[in-house]
Amino acid sequence: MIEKKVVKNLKIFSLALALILIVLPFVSAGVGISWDKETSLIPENTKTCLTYKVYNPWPEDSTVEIALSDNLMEIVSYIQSESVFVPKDTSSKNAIPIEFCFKTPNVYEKDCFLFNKLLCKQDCIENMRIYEGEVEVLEVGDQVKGSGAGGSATAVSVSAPLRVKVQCVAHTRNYSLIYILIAVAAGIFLIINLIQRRKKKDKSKVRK
Amino acid sequence: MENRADWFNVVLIFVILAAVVFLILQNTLFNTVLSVSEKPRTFGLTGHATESTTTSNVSIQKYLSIALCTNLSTGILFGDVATLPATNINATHNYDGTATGSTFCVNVSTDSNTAIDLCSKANGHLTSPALDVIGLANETYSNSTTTNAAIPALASDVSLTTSYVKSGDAIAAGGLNYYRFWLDIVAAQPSGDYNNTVYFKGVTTTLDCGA
Repeated sequence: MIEKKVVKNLKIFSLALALILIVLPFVSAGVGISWDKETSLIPENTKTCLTYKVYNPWPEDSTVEIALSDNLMEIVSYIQSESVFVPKDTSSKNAIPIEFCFKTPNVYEKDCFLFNKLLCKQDCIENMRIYEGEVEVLEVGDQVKGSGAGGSATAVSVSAPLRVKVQCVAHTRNYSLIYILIAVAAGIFLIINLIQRRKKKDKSKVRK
Repeated sequence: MENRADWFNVVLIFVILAAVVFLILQNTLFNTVLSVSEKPRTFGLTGHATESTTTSNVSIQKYLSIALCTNLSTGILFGDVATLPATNINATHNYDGTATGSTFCVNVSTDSNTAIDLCSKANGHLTSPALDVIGLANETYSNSTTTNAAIPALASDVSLTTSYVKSGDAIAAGGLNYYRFWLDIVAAQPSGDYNNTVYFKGVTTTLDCGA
């Protein structure tokens, strides 16, 4: 009789354990990325910031980092490098924004008079430069997981595509610098003349 | 003499004024910089015709999330190997699931609005602390969206590489992708613990895996 009860209890316990195992999701901390822009049109030599959102709909907290592919790193001046904690059950609707900023380089040829930098004009006859890559969100909770007993540790990430089109801004030659230099030079001559004239007047007064 | 100096000063003042005028003109009238974000122009019509405008806008958002199943997140372990050479050594969780299926899997969240391709790569050869290596070509895997005793199949195994390659296609939100891993070790392999890292990445379906 007692044995039957023990067996019955064991069966109930096994059934409950099985149910728990089925209901509980057998997943580690995960990563999620949300984005609404895959292409960005930015004038050259311009700073701009893009925002991506990270989320974690899984039942374990996770810590993530954002990274850019190598071909995009060429033009990125700053990227938030700290790890971001994403609590468990953070849905895509409550995703946490992560911002990173670009400064697009000067990529188009300019026709300059002085030192290849001053008195320039830009005709924009070249094809548009496009940098293609991806924004990757990596789970870095326990760094890479796995035992040191031999075998492979594992890591997980998700990525979103990003295309940066660098826009050429055509402009005529700007002579402002020359005008400023001429005005400054004329101003200096004028001041020197006025000072000399005043000195002469003072001398002639002293003689009188 | 003084008259000459006065005239010279007048000329200098004229030059300064002219330079300032040209400077202003250069940066206003002569400035032909193409506006980058030029506002749309509107043209007024007079007479009996009337026109009104409205804006049309749509914002497309994508989101995706994946997680490793627990047994995959704890690593791909091949246990102790006592006899060499050994081929197709099974990783510990290749056959420990329901109906002897695999419990190595990647889970795609239901909170995703796009199907996902999975990519995988390794950071390099399996390497011991003494820098002996088991070539990455010896570590193989196979994948499938379902699992049982036969699949993922050893017959369709491929070697891991150091660049991402697709290891799961168009897995829908809420779906799973199962893996099995095998290892070959040659007879002359020095004893030791060998390790590397395997990466799994989720990308929007049809896109490249990237670097």
